[in-house]
Amino acid sequence: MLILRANTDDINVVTGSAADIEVHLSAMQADASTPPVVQPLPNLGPLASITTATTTMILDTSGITSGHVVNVKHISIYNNHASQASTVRVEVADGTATTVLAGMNVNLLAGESLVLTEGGVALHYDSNGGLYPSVGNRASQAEMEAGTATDKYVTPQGMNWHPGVNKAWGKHAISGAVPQMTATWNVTSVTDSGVSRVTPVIATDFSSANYSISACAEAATTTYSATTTCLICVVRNATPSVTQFTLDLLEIDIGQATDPAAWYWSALGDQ
Amino acid sequence: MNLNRSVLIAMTMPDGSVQIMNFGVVARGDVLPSGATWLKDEGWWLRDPTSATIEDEISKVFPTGERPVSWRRIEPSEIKEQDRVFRGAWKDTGKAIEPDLTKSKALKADMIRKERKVALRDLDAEWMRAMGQGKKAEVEAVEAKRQKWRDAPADPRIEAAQSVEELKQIKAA
Repeated sequence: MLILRANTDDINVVTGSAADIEVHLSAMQADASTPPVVQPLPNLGPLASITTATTTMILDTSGITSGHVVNVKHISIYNNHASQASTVRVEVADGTATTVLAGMNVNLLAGESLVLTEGGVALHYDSNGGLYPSVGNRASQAEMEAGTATDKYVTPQGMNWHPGVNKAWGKHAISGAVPQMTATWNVTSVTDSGVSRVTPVIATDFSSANYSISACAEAATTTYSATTTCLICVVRNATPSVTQFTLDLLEIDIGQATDPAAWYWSALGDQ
Repeated sequence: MNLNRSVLIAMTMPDGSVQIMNFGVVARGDVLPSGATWLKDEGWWLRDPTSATIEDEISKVFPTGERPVSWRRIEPSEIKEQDRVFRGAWKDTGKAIEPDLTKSKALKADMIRKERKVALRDLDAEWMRAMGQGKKAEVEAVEAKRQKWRDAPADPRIEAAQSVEELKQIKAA
């Protein structure tokens, strides 16, 4: 509930872009009697669409008898533009001071709505009429990287920031004589750098070359012997950089390089 | 659901060797790579293989040191040696990626040397046992095998080979 002093308090909407903002407002008026007597409704509209970045008075109490009160029951603000978003801020002003109403300062994407209920609750709806979830307790990147907060929730994007989560991974099966981008996360390419050697490139750079790589290879045979399947997969010396690293695969028994059926790897670290 | 899609880029290095990049055209991650746009399917991005995006990717493959002297986009069918036996001899002829015969001959001799290392280890043990037991005929037979391995890298069939397929047919012993 929002109670205004007639002839003193007004309500403004401040728009930040040239969208198409449609406003509806419901209110009632009462005098100063005891008990108060309901008066004829003030003229509240229809209000013209707001199509510029401007400040628009959506409730003007200047024509109402001083001493009366105006009880605002409901405010609906809808962005009717096909594509243009706009910031929207709802303020109460008495000519001297201006107060932003709690929860009524948002960025309205095309098709979105902002509603102030009779109970004084501000609700932000998406273009499908779904309520925006609270984001106040969402873990920030710094909080995810610290990994210690117990009063924050994790978003799908935030998952990527935790130090215990793989930042990139790949499976590169050999097909058509070269390693493929068979299944990957956060990888932009893989290069066949030579005999039994691959170089994956990570989409999001690590913050330094000090990150952890786990890798192994799928043997190209099921006929196990000392010389065909005693494989060792190694990170090639001094290759890890913030963007890429190189893996080698050796038959450890005779030091012969050999190609696997597929490479598997993952990397953890700070990005 | 796996939408991964890529194209092949052949990169020729200063020594004439070739590296093959599988350049991601459709892949996924939480951040867009340079030049990419999000697909409708969440988390997947699309990146056209333009000169600019490929050059950018090459600079990430080779952040320091030697870089390719040239590159070109290739089709999978241009890679001629599917079994990769002579991968270390691959070169880009401009029309195909195939092993250089001269380099392949050197690689073949090197492969035989590595096989020989294992074979001689076993033959040496056999020779010692036969010698210890005074089996002269057996000693001579094992020695003959050892000599065959010693000569194997210089097998004249290697130098005479006219193709990598002929090289692959040569067995050391």
